[in-house]
Amino acid sequence: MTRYIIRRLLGAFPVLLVIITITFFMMRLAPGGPFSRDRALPEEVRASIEARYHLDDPLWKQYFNYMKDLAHGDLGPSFKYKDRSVNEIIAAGLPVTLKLGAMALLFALVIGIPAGCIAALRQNSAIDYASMAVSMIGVSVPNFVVLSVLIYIFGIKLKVLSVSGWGTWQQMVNPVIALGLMYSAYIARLSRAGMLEVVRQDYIRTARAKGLYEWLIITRHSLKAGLLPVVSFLGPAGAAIITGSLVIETISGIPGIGREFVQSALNRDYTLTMGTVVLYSTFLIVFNIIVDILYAFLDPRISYE
Amino acid sequence: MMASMAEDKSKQQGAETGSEKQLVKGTSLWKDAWRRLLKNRMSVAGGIIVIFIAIVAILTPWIAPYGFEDTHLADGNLAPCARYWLGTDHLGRDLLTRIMYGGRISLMVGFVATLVSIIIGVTYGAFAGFRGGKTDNAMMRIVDVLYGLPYMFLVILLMVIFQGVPADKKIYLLFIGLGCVQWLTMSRITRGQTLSIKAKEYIMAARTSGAGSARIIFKHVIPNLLGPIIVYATLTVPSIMLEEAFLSFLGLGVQAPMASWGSLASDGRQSLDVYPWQLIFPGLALAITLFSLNFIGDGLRDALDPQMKDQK
Repeated sequence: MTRYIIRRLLGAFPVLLVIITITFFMMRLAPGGPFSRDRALPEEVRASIEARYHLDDPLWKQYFNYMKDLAHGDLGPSFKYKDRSVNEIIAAGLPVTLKLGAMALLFALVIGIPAGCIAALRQNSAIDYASMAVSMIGVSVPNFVVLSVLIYIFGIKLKVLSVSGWGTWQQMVNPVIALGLMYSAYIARLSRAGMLEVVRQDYIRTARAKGLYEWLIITRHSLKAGLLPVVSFLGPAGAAIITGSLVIETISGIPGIGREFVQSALNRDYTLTMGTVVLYSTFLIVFNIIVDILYAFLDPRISYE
Repeated sequence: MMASMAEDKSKQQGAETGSEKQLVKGTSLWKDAWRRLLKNRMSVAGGIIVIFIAIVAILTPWIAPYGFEDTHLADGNLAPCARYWLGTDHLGRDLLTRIMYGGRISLMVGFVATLVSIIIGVTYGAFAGFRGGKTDNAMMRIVDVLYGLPYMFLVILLMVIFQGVPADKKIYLLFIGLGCVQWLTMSRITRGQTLSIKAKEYIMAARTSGAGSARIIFKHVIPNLLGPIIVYATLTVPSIMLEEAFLSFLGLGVQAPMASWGSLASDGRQSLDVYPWQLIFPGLALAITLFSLNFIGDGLRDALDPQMKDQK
């Protein structure tokens, strides 16, 4: 198992390298640089700014320098926020985004798994059809629409929750629900399917015949196997939640790095964009590895040598 | 595989009912599936809705009440009323018209990008599955590795790079970019199907009777591939439409003068507190379409693979 982990981690490096390289050159391809949006600068001023940030070096040299700094953990200075380095900006925004994402994922699991299990155990009943229909709706409505509707109902009309910002629970409820709702729907469907398959098995029938309490049957015997599809969904769900947080943060004015990424791409702030992409990719790769290991723990049929 | 199974089943039925009843008419995979699909009421409802929306989208230039760009500045920000069924935006443009035109773009992006992802994914997956062995292994490892990454970032970057391009050319970028996000799962499905088909007896039978590779591919592999591909394609369209709405909402997707449901929702958000319908109606249109497409996709999946019915 440890060898598997090490192999995966080592294998992650080339992937990261590719992503960083692609992003680097893509950013440079974009017309306009970080300083071309400001009011027109006299030639000498522009030249000296570019020299300071090494933007006048040949492209491969800039790439090389960037990678060298990256190896030391230095993500460079931000081009747009001239007094802050990328490391600082990320350090400020990362905890916020992580908290938002984690809470959304938690919400999805807490709502989705019980809903799916109940639907599975009462298959073809009214509850089953109702919850599957609701989950279908959940999957179909874009998260920014959900967020806007929630803000309108609870923030503007009923005034019980805040309209934007981050910090108090009134501010956190809407974004978390909006971000997590779609995935709670997916998880409900997946857990329903997984539980259905498990509940048919002979060993469950035996347990019932032995007179075991239904509750015990569910928790002790069925859950672990039935929720495997949910566990393997966690990987893509993580990626999707991260992507979704971009819009949610932008709408709700949440000071996380998702918002920074979009802004920095639009501002051509090379270093900040690169920094956020590096961060997200690293995070996702590690998250996927963890999910795979979790899956291996839960499914005794799988062994990673 | 499924075709021969269905034929077996019907022959069995004929035997069971005995000689008193006439022989059950032979049925094919597609007819079976169609029958099952029709029994699923939600799917049928979804299908009807989608067909209706598609017809409206196609006929929009003729049946829209106003022009796409007609502004009636005196009638700005009106709530739904008799003259403007869904209200107007801040420039007095009829929202119903804009939603109809926006639907054309949203649907077009959905279908064309899905087509792109099918072309890339099926080619890749079929090739991997057909070659098998090391080639297959290598190709699928690449897919595995690419699977966990957030593509939207690259697509966002792509849209940022080409920001200067005029709006109507930019849509091609959306087609390709969004198609590239979805091809991975398509390739996995295709490869899985190809592998299982390759192992079937009828392929071996065809080979021993001298069929060449091309004939095998076209007459046996592809028709059996079509089922899951159609199912997944029907489910990919709503995903892509969602992603396009996402991008447009950030200002990076469809842009003025064109509109899509996502960009309309984004515009509507500006005045959410006073004129909520400007966001709600485009959002609703998007939700209903996606909802219906998802239902059809689910129904198709159940219809084409009855054993999988309870294993969503």
